[in-house]
Amino acid sequence: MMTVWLGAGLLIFGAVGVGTCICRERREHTGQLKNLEQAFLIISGEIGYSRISLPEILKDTGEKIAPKDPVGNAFLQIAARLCDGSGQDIRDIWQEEMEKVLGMSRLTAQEKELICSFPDTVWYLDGERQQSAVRKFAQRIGEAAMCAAQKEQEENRVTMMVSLACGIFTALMLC
Amino acid sequence: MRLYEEVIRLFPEHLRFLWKNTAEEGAHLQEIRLRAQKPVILIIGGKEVYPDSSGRLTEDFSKARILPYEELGQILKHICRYSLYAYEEEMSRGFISADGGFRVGIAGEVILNPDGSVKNIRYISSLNIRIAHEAKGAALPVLAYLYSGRRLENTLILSPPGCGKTTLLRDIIRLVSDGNEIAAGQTVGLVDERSEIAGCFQGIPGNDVGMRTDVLDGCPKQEGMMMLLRSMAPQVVAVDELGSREEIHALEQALKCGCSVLATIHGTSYEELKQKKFMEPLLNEKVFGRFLILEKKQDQFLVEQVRDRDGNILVQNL
Repeated sequence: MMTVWLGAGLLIFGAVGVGTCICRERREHTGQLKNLEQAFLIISGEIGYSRISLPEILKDTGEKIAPKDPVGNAFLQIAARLCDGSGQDIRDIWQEEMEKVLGMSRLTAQEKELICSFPDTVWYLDGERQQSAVRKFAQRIGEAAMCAAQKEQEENRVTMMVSLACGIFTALMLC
Repeated sequence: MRLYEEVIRLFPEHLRFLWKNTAEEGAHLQEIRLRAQKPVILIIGGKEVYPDSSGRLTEDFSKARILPYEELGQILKHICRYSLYAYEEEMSRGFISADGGFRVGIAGEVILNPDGSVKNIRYISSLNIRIAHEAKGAALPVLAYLYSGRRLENTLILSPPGCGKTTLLRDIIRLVSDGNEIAAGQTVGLVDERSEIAGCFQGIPGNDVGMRTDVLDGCPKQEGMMMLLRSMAPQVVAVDELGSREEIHALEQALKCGCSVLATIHGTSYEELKQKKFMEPLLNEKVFGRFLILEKKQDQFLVEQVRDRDGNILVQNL
């Protein structure tokens, strides 16, 4: 009898574990969006404060965030390619480098599209307007992160309930 | 080859095939004039030349390629590294500095500040890319006349536009800074208001202005000279294109500090120089020990006269 209880307990524990893993993946998605929002807020701040060129800002921001966020490495690559004299368009460079990083992320197609559209915001002659455009871009990512967080909460609750129920049901069936 | 690469780098990758022939003319290329919906004009060896729709150069105006407005914007964005906002201040002065030490003049609709000063330029419709030419050794023939013993004389270079004032000044600065056969290297403080002498891009000189030269890039001359005197202790102060009483006043301060001065000014002759009211104090006090008067002959600049502080001609046609 003891073995049966132990087996049932393990089954339920396993099912809850699977649910927890699924929830963690969802949290990563929200976390990635929040990190991206932060990165673009840094860019916006640098535009407003230092008024240095975009490649320099990307290099500085990349160096700050690269150790913990792969997007930082993408920023560093983009900065280097914008200054290497190849003359490639920023849209092409951005797309190529971001796709490499975002391909491995948990971002949705829509969110990836949003991130890849960043070069469309960089064309203002006026520093303040440029800063505000990048800030708004960061806000859009922030909104996506909020939506993802809300969705995550609901889905996580359902996931945990379903995984627990599955565990109990399977244990009952096997008993 | 270096100039070819620097010129071709001014253009975005997808347009470079149209500018290959232009870039190959690098050594003689003086200006690239781009106007929206107008023919592209190149100034090569003092003459107008036109790239056609395939990029080949022609002297036939009717074959000239019309520059689309979009292309002008693409070139500008590329030169600014997609950071137009970072050039706001430079644009308000009517030009930006590009990689390679080139100066790009800008024209379009001007936006004014409430006080009437220029804030920025929008709807940019014209670009004038001036190709900087470094002529190392150009100052060697005059160098011996610039020194009295081992002391560098205060020198004023005088010429009409396009005769090589800036080029000659740049090479004199280099030779003075690095040291030469006559004297050891001296610390030079260069106020490069229009980024033409050192050709700084993001603070780094694109042209060789010597190992002991400190450059204040994009700084008004009168303020720049005072800043350098206070902070960098230069032995020589160099400025391009004197043009106001305030600048002359700052120059006097530099002279009081015991610095030698290298400067240029617009003008066609020594006699014309004497007519310039704002120069009167310096000329009366015989501050300048040497006057170099330049002229242009067959696409090459020539030092027509070297005069001493009294205006006597020391040598001609160097």
